[in-house]
Amino acid sequence: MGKYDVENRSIVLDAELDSDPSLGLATLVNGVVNDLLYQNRFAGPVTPEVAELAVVGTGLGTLRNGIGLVGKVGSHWDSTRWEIAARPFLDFQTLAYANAIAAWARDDRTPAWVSEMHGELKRPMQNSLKFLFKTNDSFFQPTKQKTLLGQPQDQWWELAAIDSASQKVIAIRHLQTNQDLSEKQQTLLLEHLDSPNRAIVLHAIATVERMAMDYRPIANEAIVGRLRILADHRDDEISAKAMCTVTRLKKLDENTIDIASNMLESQYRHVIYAGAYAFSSLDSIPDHVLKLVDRAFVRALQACDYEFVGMFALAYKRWLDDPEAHLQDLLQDSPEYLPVALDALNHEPDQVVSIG
Amino acid sequence: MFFKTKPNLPDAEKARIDYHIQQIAECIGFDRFRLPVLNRDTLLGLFFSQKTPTEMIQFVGDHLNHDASGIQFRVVPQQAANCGSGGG
Repeated sequence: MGKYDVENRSIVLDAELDSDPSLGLATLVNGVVNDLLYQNRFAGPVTPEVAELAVVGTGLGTLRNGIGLVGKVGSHWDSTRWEIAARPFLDFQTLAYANAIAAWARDDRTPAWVSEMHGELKRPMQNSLKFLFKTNDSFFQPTKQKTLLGQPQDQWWELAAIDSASQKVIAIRHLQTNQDLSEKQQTLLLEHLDSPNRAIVLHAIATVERMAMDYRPIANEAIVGRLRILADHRDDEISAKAMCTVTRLKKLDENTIDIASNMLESQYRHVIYAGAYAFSSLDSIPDHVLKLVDRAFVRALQACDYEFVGMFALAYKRWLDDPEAHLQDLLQDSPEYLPVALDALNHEPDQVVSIG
Repeated sequence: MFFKTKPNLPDAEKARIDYHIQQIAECIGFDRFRLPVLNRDTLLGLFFSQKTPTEMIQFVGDHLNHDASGIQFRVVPQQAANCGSGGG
């Protein structure tokens, strides 16, 4: 119903308050909380989601609890990319959890304001509240009031070893090094890459890649060996992420290339992307892989998936001396696709393939 | 039978939200997470007691212990989409 404009430090409603008092007031509250975050120089983008978490956390969320802005949110295939996975607003589950944190932070086991919540929000909120009182398992510790985000590396490494999956994930994301890993650190990373918990595995892959891009020796035989195995994992996100990381680290071997071939036949777009991304990093590919790429390219044309068409076209130009002749030959039985295919050859793709 | 208590979010989501809440607390202070929770009637009462939007903003600012006096307020009605060209 409106927005906070940081440039002019103003709250702009697009309708009079009396057209919907509840939504209008929630927008005013949201605007003031946005202002609070900006005036205190919030470290990072003040996304709508961050603002809503702050609204609930500061005791102003009861109006928001009655507004269903987002039932189900879309997500980026790579769940480790928090910066591009920012949600438009809180969904019901996240809103429920934020309310649980708000009650827990106030040491309130039976908050009266819960009675105003509808069941869809109340039950998951109460589950999380019980969990928090029983386990104290949260990176956010309101009673200790400790600033943690700037803590030194040795403390992040310690946190990465504790017995809490969510805190491990946060710690893994903060690990850094510009030197060889100690034996203990290497063992910990390998354990995380081997974890039965997919969130830990995914974030460990992301961290290995980040660290190895800064300091190449991190990508040693043991770590790369584990990543190659993960590229063949039954979980589609893990396999796609591991394949992309092995590719970026330029560690594709014969076996990983075979796995990438199978990926081109996947039902999941991000898995096809990971396979194609691996091949597009190579200067040449074997004939049997070219046939698989051809099939994936035709499927992309049939599905009007122009992002993939563009990515494959770029790869053809890299592999083949005469990509135009190859496509004319490939599409001789489907000439209707030829103009689009040739057009893709002659134009650089506008952007990296986005996979929602 | 023993049931293990679980949060309502999967680990990855819980981590992301816990992290953002810590970020917020480090920015605006942990004490603001101990402010009383205002119920719906209290907030809606601002509207029904004929307070102006500026007064409402001030009330929320006071709750947050935040100087909201510099926040401007405007209503800019959304324009209806222009569907026709008007032609000829």
